[in-house]
Amino acid sequence: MEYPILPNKSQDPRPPGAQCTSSRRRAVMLMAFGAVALLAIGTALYRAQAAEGESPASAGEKAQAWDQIETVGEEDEWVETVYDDGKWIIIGERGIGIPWYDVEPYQIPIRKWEDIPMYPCSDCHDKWPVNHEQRPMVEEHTDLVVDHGDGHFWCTGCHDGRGLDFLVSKDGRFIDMDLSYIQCGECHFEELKDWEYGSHGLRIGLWRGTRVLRNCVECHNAHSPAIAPIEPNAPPKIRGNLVRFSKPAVEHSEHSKVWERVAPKNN
Amino acid sequence: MPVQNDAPGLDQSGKTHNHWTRRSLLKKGGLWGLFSLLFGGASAVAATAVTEDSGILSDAIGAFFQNHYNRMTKDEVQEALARIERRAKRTYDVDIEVSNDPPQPGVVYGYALNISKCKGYRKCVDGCIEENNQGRDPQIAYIRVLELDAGSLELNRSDHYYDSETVPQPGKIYLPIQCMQCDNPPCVKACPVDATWKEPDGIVVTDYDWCIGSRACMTACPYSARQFNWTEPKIPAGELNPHTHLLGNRPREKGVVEKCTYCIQRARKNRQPACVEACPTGARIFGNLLDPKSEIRYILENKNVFRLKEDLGCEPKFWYYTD
Amino acid sequence: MKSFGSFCRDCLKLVFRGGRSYWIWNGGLLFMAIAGLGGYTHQLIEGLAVTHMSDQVNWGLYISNFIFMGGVSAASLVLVVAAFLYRQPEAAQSVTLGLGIAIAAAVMCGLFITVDLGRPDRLWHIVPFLGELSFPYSMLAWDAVVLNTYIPFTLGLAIYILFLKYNNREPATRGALFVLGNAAILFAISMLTVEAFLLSGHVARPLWNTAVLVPRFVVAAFAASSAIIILVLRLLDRFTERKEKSAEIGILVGVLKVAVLINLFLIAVEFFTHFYHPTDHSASAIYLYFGLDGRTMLVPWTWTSLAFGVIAVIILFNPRLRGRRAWLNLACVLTVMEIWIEKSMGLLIPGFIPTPLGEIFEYLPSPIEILVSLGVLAIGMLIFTLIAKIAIHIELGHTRYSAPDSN
Repeated sequence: MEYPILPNKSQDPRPPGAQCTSSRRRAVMLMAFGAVALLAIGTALYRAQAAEGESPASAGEKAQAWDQIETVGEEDEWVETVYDDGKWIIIGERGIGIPWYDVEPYQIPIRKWEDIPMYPCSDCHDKWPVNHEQRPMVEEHTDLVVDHGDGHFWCTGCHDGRGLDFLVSKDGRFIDMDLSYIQCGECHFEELKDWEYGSHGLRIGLWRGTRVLRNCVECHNAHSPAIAPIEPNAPPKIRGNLVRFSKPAVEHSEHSKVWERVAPKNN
Repeated sequence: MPVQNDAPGLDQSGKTHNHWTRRSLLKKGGLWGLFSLLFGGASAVAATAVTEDSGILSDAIGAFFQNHYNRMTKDEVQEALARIERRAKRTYDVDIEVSNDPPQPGVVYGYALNISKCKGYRKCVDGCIEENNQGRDPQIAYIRVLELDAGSLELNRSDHYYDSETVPQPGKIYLPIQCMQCDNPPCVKACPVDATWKEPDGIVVTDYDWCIGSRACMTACPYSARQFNWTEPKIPAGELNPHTHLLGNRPREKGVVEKCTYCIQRARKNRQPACVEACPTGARIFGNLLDPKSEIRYILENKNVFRLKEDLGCEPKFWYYTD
Repeated sequence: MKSFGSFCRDCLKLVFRGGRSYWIWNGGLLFMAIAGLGGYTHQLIEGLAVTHMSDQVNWGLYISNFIFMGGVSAASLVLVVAAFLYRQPEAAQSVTLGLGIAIAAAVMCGLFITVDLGRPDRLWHIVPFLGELSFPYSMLAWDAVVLNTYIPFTLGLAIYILFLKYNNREPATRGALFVLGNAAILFAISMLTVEAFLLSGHVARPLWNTAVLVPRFVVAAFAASSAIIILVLRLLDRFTERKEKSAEIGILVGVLKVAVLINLFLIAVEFFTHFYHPTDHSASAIYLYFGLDGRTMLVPWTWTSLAFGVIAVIILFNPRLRGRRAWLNLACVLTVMEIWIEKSMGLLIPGFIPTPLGEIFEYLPSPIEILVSLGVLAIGMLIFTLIAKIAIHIELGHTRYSAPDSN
C-alpha cells in the first residue's frame, strides 16, 4: 500500500517533486507510454497544464483522468459542462488513508491552486515565523471562525508550522492539501469509510465508470464544519381553483410523540 | 407522413430534422420573394402561412394515428420524435432534441436516500422541475418532501407544505418521496390501455402519446407518484430543457398522466438524475443494482435500509437508510 | 322478417308522436343534455382543470356516478329478468321497462367514464385489436369490455321481447329467452363485480381494499335499483296509461327491504373493523364518519345517508307504513339518496383522503362537473323515456303488428 502522504517529516516538503510517491510512479509510467499519451492529451490538457504550471506529474494524472472520463461519457459537451477541465486528481487504484480492501477507485477534484484562497500559504508564511500561541486573529485571517472540536482546536493542530502548504497528520506526516479528507478521516473514520464506499457525500458526474467524489471540504468548511440551516425552496403549489380544499397543516406535535402522551399518567 | 428532413442543403446547423419546416419554407419564401418583387402582393407570406398550417395539420393527423410505443417501427419512432421536436419549435420556438435511447444491457436502476442527511431544502424538487419540463402553472412536481416529527414515520402526520424560515427545524425529519420504479408496479396493472410499463432497466415509463388520461394509475399508486396535466402545461420558453427523451422529459400535452423516470434521458446516457445532482447534502445515491461494485449495492448490503410501504408487495427499487 | 321492418317503423312513430307533456318533458331533457354538452365542451377546451379533481383526489363526481349507474344498471337487469324467469311470468310486463333502465344506466355509465377521460380523442386506444387493451390485468379494461358487450346485448334482449309482444306472442320463460336472460344476468353480475374490483383491487387505498366491498356493492346496487324501479313504475302509473301491478311492486319491495337492511349491516361490519382498533388504514373511514384533523366536508353527508338508510329500514319493515303509497315512495326516495351518497361519492372520495402520502385534500364537485353530470343524466333519462314510450305502447297492446297495409 502506497500512501501519498509524505513519508517522513525530515524531508523538505517544499520541492514539487516531493509531492507524493504515487505521482512519481505515475510519472515513470507516463514516460513509458511517452508520446502516445502526450498526443492523446490534446488542448484541454494544455490548458490544464498551464493552470497548474509547475507540476508535470499531475499533468500526467489529468491525462489519465480525461482518458477515463471520455470513455464513460457519450457526449463530449456534457463531459465539458460537468467537469471543469483539468481539475481532477487520480487517487489511485485503492482508497487512500485507510486501506479498505475493496473500495472502488475514485477521483477527486484538485482545489489547491484555484479554489483555496491564498494558496500557497508559503507565499506569506515563509516570511513570518509561526506563532503557536492561541490568540484572537487581528491582522490576518480575521474572518476565520474555528467552530470545530469544541474549542480544543488551534491552527497548528492541522496546519504545521514546518510546512504550511501541507496539512499534518496525527503521526506527524505531511498531507497534500487536496488529500485533506485523509486528515478528516483521522477522527471521522466512520464518515470517511462511508464516503469512500459511496454512502456519504456527493458523487459528481456520471453514475457509471470512475467515481468522481466531492472532497469533504467542498461541502463542510473545515474550520466550522456544521452546516447552517437555510431557507427551504417553495412548498408545492396548488392549482388556483383548489386552494380552499387544502387547509394549512394542523400541528400534530402534541399527539405524535408517544412519550409525551404517556408522561402525564406517570406523574 | 411526408418527412423531408433529408432534403439536401437545408441543415446548415448540422442538427437534425427539426428545422426542416421552417428552413425549407424560408427558402421557398425567398424564391417567392424574388417573384413578389416583380408581381408585388403578399403571395409569399400567404404561401408560407398555408404550408405552415398544413404542417400543423399533418402533424395533428400523424399524432392522432401514432401507434403504441412498443408497436411502432423504427421509422415511425423517428417520425414521432420529429413531430415532437416540431411542435416544441412551434409552441416554444426552441430547438429541442428528442432521443429514444434504449435501455442499457445489464443495468437495473436503483435509488437510495439517506434520511439522516436529508434536511428538507427541496432543492431536488426544483432541480427535477428544471430538468423534466413539468408544467409550471399549475405546478407539477415529481418529488414531495414530507416533514415529520422525529420519532415516527407515520405519513398521515406529515406536513407537505412546510414553509418555515429555515430547515431543518429541530425535532423534525424530512422524507422525500417520488416514483419508486416498483418492480411489481400497481400502476402498470391499472392502466386500461398499456400506456405505462416497466422497461428492462427497471424504469416505469409512460407513453405520453398513448395515455388516454383515465388516471387509473394515479389511483393505484401507493406513493402518489403520478401527476396529471389538468390543463395545457405552461413552461416559459427560456426554461425548456432541450435535451429530452421520448419516454421522459419531452414536452407533454394536456390530459395525460406523467411521472418520474429517474431522468431516463440522463440515466441512459450514464448521467445521474437531476435530483441527485441538485441535492447538496449527498443524501441521494443512484446506481446500477446489477453491479456488485456500485455504491447502491454497498448501501443495500451494509446499511440498515428500509422501503416505504414494503408490505404492499410492490417491490419498490427505492430504499431509505440512515447513517 | 317483414314484421320487423314494420316494428322499427312503428317504434320510430311512437318516439316522434306524443302529447304536449311528452314533448315538454323531452324538450327539457334535451335542453339539459345540450347544457351538459356545453359544459363538456368547456372542459374539453380548458382541460379537466375546470373540475375540482386534483392530483390528490383524481377521481370525482364522474367516476362516482359511473359506479352508481353501473350498479343500478346491472341490478335492475338482474331484478326484472330474474323475476320474470324464476318467479312470476306475469312480471314480464315490467321486464322491458327494467331493461330500459338497465340500458339507460349503462349508457350513462359509459358517458360518465368518457367525460372523465383526459384524452377522449384517444378513445380508440381502448378498442380491442385496434388499440392496446391491457387485458386481463386492468380492471378498467375489463369494465370497458363488459360494458361494451353488455349494452348491445341488453338492447338486443329488450328488442327481442318487445318484438315478440309486437307480434302478439307472449315471451316464454323457456327456450331462447331462458338462455338469453340467464346470459344477461351473468353479464350484469360480472359488471357489478368488475366495478367493485375496480376499487377493491387498489392496495394503495385501504378503504376499498377489502373483500366486503364487493358484496356491499352488490347489495347496495339491488337496493338502489329496486327503489328506482318502484319509483319509475309509480311515475309511469301517474303520468301514463300504464298502471302499476301490486305483484311487481311486491317483488321489488321484497328485494328492497332485504337489500337495504343487509347494506346497513355490511356498513356496520366495516364500521366495527375500522373503529375497534383503528390503524393507519382506518384514516379514510375516520375522515368519512368523523372528519380528520378538523376537516369534515363529508361528515354531514355520511350521517345523513345513514339516517336515511335507517328510516328506510323502519318504514320497509313496518307492514302498515310499507302498505301506504306515500310512505313507500318516501322509503324509496330515501334509499336512492342513501345509496347515491354512500356508495358513490361517499365511497370514492374518502378513498383518496388522506392520500397515500398522508395529505388531506378535500373535494367537492365544481359547477362544470355538476352541469356535465346533469347532462349525462338527462341523456340517460331521455333514452329511458323513449324506450318506455315504446314498451308501454306495445305492452298495452296499442301498437301491435297487423296487416302491412293497415297502418
